[in-house]
Amino acid sequence: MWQQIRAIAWAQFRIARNHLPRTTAGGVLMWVMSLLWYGVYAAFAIVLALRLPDVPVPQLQQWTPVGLFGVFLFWQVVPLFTLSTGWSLQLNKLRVFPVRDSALFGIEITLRLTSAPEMLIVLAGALIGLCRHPAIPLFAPLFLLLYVPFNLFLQLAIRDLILYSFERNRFRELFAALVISISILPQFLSRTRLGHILRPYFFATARGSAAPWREASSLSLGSFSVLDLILLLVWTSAVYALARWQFEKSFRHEETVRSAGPGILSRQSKETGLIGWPTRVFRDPLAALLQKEFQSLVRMPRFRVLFGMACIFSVLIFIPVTFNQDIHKAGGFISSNFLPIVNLYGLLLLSDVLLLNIFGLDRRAAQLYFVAPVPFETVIRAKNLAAVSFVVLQTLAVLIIALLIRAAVTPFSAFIGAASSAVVTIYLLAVGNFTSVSLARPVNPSQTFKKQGGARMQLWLLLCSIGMYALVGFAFLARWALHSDWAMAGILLLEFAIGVIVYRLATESAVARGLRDRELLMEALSKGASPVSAG
Amino acid sequence: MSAAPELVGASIVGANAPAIEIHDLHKIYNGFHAVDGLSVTVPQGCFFGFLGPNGAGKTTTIKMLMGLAQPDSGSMHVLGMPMPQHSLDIRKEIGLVPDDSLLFDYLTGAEYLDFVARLYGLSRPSAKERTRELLEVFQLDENPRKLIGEYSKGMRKRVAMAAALIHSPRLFLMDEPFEGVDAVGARLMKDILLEQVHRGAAVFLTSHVLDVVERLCDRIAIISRGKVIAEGTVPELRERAAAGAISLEDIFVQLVGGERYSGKFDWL
Repeated sequence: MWQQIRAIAWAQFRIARNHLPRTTAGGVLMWVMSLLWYGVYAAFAIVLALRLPDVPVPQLQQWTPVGLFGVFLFWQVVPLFTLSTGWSLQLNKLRVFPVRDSALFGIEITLRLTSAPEMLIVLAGALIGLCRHPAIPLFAPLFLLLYVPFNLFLQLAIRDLILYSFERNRFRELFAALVISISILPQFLSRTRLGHILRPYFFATARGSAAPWREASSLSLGSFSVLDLILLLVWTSAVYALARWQFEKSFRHEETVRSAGPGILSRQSKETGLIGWPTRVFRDPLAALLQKEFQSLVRMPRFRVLFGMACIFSVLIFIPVTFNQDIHKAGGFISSNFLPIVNLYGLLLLSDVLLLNIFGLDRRAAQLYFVAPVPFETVIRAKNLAAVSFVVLQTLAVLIIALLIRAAVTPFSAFIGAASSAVVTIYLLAVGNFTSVSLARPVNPSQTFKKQGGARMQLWLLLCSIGMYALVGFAFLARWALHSDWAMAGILLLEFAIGVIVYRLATESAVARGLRDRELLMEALSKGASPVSAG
Repeated sequence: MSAAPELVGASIVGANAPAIEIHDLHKIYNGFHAVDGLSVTVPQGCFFGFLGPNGAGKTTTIKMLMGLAQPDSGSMHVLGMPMPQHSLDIRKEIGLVPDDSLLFDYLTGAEYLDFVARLYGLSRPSAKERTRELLEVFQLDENPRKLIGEYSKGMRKRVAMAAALIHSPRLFLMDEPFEGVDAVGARLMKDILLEQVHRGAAVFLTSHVLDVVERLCDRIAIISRGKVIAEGTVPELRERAAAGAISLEDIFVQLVGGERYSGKFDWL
C-alpha cells in the first residue's frame, strides 16, 4: 500500500516539477498573495503562541472550546463558501490501477489538510502557546492533535457528500440552493436580531458537554479524564466511519458516471426550439456557431449551476446586507444601488466560464474552429454574442427577482444596473478574448463544484474584478462629486463607448494571436489532469 | 444520400494539380525534428497510405496540412493551392477524421453534423437532409437524443467520419479512422472511401492496421523520424525490402528497423 502511495505522490511531484519552469510573473504574484493570506493566520498563530502562556487557566477553560468550535466551523463550512475543496485524488484516473481503496482513502484524508491549511497554522500556534503555559502539563496540549483527524474525516465526508450531490443531475440545482442558504447564514445572523437571539445557543453548543471541541479542549488543558478521551475517540471513530462510507459511495458513483458519460442530460433536448433563435436571426456560419454554443452551454452542469447562481445567489447574498438599510426603500448605498451591485457580482460568477476562457468548455474539440473554413474572428464573435445573450438573461432575471422581493427599483436604477452590466461586460469580453487565446485551459463541463482555474487564471480573475469595480466605482464617484445621477449615467456611457473601441482592438489582437499561437492553444486545451487535482 | 458533385474533370481550382504536394517540410518541437525534410506527392483520385512507427511525424504532418501547426520550413500545396496562404479555401475542400476527436460532447450526433455542415457553407435544408442521410447510413439514428459524450469510441469515429463526408470534400485526411470501429462500421467506412476515390477524391490515410492499408491503398509512403524512407505501390515496396518480406507488415518492420521478439524475457 505504501509503495502505491509513494508512487502517486511521486507522480504528483514530477508533474508539479515539470510545470515549474513555466511559472511566470503571474505565478510569482499568486505566491506573494498566498503568503499575505496565510501570513495573517501565521501572525495570529504567533500571537497565540506568545500570549496564551499569560492567560489564566479558568479563562482558557472558558474560551478554548469556543475557539475550537470556530476552527471546526471554519474547516467544515468555509470550503462551501469559497467553492474550494483543496487538493483531491482524480479517482477516475487511479481506479484503473490495482491500488487498494484503503490506500486511496489514506491519501485522500491526507489531502484534506489542504482544504483549510489556515486552521492547521492556528492550531499549531495554539499548541505551542499551551505547551509554554506554566500551569498546563507539558504533554497535555498534544491532545489537540486528535482534533485534526476528527476534522479531516468529517471534511472528507462533507466534501464527498457535496460532490456526490452536485453530480446527481436531479438534485444539483436544489443542492446549490442549499449551499447558497448556508453561505448567507453568517451575514444574516450578523445583520439581524436573530444573531443576538442565537448567540447564547452558539456558546452553549461550543461549551456543551460531550461535544468534540469541548473534549479536545479539556484534554489539551490538562484536565485529563478517561471519559473525555473515550468521547473524543468515539467522535473521531464515528466521523471516520462516515467518511469511509461516503468515500466508498463516491467510488461507486464515479464508476456509474464513467460508464454513463455525461449521459443523464440526453433527456433534456426539449429546449431545441427555444435556442434555435440564432438560426432565425443570423446567417451561417455565425448562426451555426451561436446555436452550438446555446445547445452545449445549457446542457453543461457547470454552466447551469453557475448561471443559476449568477441569477439567484447573487440576489440572495446581498439581501441580508440590506437588512440594516431597509431594502424596500432607497437611501442606503446597497439599497439604492442594489441592481448594479447584484449584476456585477453575478457577472463575476459567470466570467470564468463565459468571458475569460471562452474555449475552455470546448476543450480538444476547439481545434475544429481551425479546421473548418470559418474565420477565427467569427468564432470569437459567436462566443461573445452567446455570452452577451446570457448576461442579458441574467440581468433580466435579477431585475425580475428584485421586483418580486420589492427591492427599491426605479426605472433609473434599472437603467444604471443594465448600463453597469454592459460596461463591465464589454471590458471583460475584451480582456477575455485575449486571455482565452493566451491563457486557455480545459474546463470539465460536468464538474460543478470544484474550482478549475490555474494560478494565473485566478490572478486574472482577481485583477478583472478589481478593474470591474474600478470602472463602475468611477461612475459612482462622479455621482457623488457632482450630486447628479446623470453624471453617473454619462460616465457609464462614456466608458461603454471607450469599451467598444477597446473591445475591437483587443479582439483583433486576440484573433491574430490565436491564429499565430494555435498550436499552443490546442496544446493547452488538450492537457490532461494529474493524479491529484486542486479544487 | 444526396448526389455529390462529380469531381473528375470539374473546372475547379487545382483540378489537375496533385491533391497534396509536400516539399522539404520541417517541423521542430523543442529541438526535436518531428518532421525532417519530408517530401511527398499524392495524386488526385489516389488512396494514399502514410505509414510510420509511433512518433514518426504522421500526425504532425496532417496537422500541418490542416493548418493546425505551422511548418518551420518547406512548402505544402493542397489541391494546387499553397498552404497556409490559402488555408481557408483548402479547408473547404478537406474532410478530416483526426486521431483525437473534434467532437463536442454536449451535442447530439444530429446537432453536430448539422453544425459542421453549416460551418462548411451548406444551406440549412441541405445540411438537414445530409445529416439525416448520414445518421441513417452510419446507424447513428437509433437514439437521436443521445449526446456524443455518451457514444462509444466506435460511434464517435462514425460520427467523425460522417462529419468528414458531409460537405463532399475533394481530399480526405484520415488519422487512424478505423480505430475502435466494429467490422460492420469499418467495412462501411472503407466502401464509402473507395467510392470517393473512384469519384476522383484523394484519401490520405494513416493507420497501424497494415492489412487494411495493404488492401485499400494505391500508393504507400513509409516515414521514420520525420523522413520518407520508402514510397511506392505494395509490389514496389516489396522489391525494395529484403527477401522473405511478403506482407506489408514484413516490409514495414524491415524498413523501419524493427526486431522480432525471440523469447528475451525469461521471467515472462
